[in-house]
Amino acid sequence: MLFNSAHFLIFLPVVLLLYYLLPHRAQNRLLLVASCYFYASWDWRFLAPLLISTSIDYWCAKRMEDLANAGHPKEQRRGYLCLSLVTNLGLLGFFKYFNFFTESLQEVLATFGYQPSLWSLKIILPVGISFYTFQALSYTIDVYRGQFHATRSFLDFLLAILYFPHLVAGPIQRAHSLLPQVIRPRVINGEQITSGIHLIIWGYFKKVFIADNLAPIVSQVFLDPSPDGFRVLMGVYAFAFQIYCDFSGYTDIARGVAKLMGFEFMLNFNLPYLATNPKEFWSRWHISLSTWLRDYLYVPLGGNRNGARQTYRNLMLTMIIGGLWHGAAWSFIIWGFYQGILLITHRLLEPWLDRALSFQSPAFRRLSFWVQVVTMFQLTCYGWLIFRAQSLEQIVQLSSSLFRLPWNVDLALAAAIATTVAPLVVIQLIQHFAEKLEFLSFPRVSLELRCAVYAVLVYFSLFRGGQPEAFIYFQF
Amino acid sequence: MNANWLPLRAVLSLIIVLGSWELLARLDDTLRYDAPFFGAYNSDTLNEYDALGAKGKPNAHYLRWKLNSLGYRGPELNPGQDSILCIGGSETFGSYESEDMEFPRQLEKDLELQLGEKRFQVVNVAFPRDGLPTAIGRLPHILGKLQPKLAVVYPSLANSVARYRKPAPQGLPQELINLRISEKAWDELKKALPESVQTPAKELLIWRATRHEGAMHRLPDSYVQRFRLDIERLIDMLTTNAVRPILVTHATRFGVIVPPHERPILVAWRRFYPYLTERGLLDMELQLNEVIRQFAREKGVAVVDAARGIAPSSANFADAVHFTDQGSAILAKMIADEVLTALRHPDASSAVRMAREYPRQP
Repeated sequence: MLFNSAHFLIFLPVVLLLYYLLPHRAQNRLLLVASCYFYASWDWRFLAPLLISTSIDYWCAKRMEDLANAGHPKEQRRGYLCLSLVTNLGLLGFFKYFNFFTESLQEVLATFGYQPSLWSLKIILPVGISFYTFQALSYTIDVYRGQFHATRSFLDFLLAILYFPHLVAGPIQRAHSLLPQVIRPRVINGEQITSGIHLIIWGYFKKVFIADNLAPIVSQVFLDPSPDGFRVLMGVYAFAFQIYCDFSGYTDIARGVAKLMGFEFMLNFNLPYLATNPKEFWSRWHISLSTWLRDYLYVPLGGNRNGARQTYRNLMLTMIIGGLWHGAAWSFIIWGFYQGILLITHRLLEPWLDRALSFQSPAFRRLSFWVQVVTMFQLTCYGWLIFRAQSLEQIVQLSSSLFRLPWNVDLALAAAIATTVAPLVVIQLIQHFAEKLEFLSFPRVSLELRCAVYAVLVYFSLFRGGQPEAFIYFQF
Repeated sequence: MNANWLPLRAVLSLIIVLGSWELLARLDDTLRYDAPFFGAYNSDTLNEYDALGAKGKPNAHYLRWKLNSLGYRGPELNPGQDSILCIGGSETFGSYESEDMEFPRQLEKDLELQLGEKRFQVVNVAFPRDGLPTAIGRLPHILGKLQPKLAVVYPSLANSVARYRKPAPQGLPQELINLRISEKAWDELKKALPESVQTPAKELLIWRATRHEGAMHRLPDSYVQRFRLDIERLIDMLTTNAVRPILVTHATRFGVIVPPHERPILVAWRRFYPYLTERGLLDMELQLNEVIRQFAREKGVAVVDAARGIAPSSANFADAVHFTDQGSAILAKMIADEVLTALRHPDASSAVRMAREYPRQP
């Protein structure tokens, strides 16, 4: 069930209506049933791996908590952590990476003259497996570390993992943030409702109007066997906005729906294309994933504690694994590697850049801010070229087209992209200068003006949206 | 905020939202389709009415449908150029095809391609809801004005039968307030609603329309005879005016058996002709197409058997009877071949060839 389907537009009001009528415990049961229905609407069989991993995680966490309460040392809890890790990563590895690794191994062996007949299975990837696996892992790891107490209620834990707004495409909610909200009765105030509606309308506009209208332009460019450099550039720019609006649109809808039920989800995107450097970009883009990778991978690997070389190695490993998290393909690994290179380069240049900028006038610094934003956007876009390409050959082909002059400038294509993206750019600049993400929430904006702006956004989402497309991040 | 003002502000906000939508809908239509900002803008924009019912309003346009100064769909006519008429209903006028992809336009392009010159202009004199009685009524005026060389007759069978039941509908009363946003919202809702909701709703409407009179499983013989007489009259009118006719049988999306997944399309079609059951509609197609074939054989009139030549599939039909771009292209090609044969053999009958090329199906 997609957020942009008629099915969901019927499902949500029914769930909300029942939700508001019920007391807290019954609300949780309702949400659990609704979440199972939401997830099973793709394929009921997807529920099996989800329920298996969730049950094992619950049991492991409970055992670890019992051992900790009984005063046993941390080492005795390790077995349960390992079981949870093996179960979650095993399921993820099997469903998502089995064929990729066997096929890659086959190709490597073939280059040495071996032709082994390895297995290749017809596996359907359960929707959102990467998201809920990371959510569940954070719970058991936090309990193991003693940072969070295991819950005694399986149903509460199940709801925290299964809760439908974040189940299939995040934000990757940590247990310490979501589980208390499940356990305690939720109070819904007018501000939450307004904010929730705002997020839902803005999310749908980004997804349906911007991302879905850009989708055919992007597909045309990336399906073109010999595209012109200008078209590649436009296609990549269009994809940069498509993937941002698609994913952040989904997140906004998810956060908005959660708010309507009294839940608060973490912020997942904070004007990422206004980042001035790679480090800042990753603190603004898919924040729930980047902080997860930081806390559960980069820091345990040693972070930046053991000298420059170790730090660079840790950064690179984290980004490559982050790339692989997105999908089982070499292009995602290369994308992760590219992001690692950007982060390492920035780390090398950072002291020099800071020194250079510290002596300049405020006007120069403002100018330099926008130069950095534009430069970072170009670097990000090249990353999107790698990300969107279907194969290594296509990365090479598109890159060579991009740098092959002269370009055949297609102004109509540029205008089509610019007009689609213009509302986003304007609103995000307002958000940037007002230093407020909810662009219409400041008190001086009257209800009437807000209604007029919402009416415009809803009109464009309903009547000028593109052909409905699945959310890009569902495939991850 | 003072709590006393809240209801008033809520009402004001609602008015602002609805007003903004209506304003945007009108601006959108004006910018995209060059629609008038004020007044109504719907398919009725294309119509003007006379005793025979609706006909094309000169120079009217609505969405992708554009009429020329004579009220026919397509470009302005070239005086002095030989014309081929296309007579029919909404299938010929074009409903779902992209702009300039309705079969008369594709026929013109095909002929130009095959003849290597623009020897013919194809004039699409069809109009939605036209049946044979309407075509007969309008033909003298059309023939007097255009003096065509050939005429392709693709009769809308269901529309013809509808006219045997009731006289032509006159202009609909204009609504006092025409909210464009409500029309757009209704269209979007229809697109969004799943078939499991839409089909029962249509069945309910059919039931309401037929609960007193019932519906027919088979087309009465009197209708079949009247259809044959109409075909005869139309062909007579054409031939006496030295216009060579080409008859075309009526194609639908359905084969002999309608698979369950195609039933919603059949129900949607039946909603416009509820007096015939689903079986009755399919029977009507079989009977009247046979009338066309038989008439063509007897009188030696050229015939294109679209009913047998166009595969019944969603690739060729957007709904039950209206073509997709691909379906139109197939029909245009079949008719172009027949036109070229007619040009090469001005006196030959195609009836024999038809029997060979499109053998009767079981």
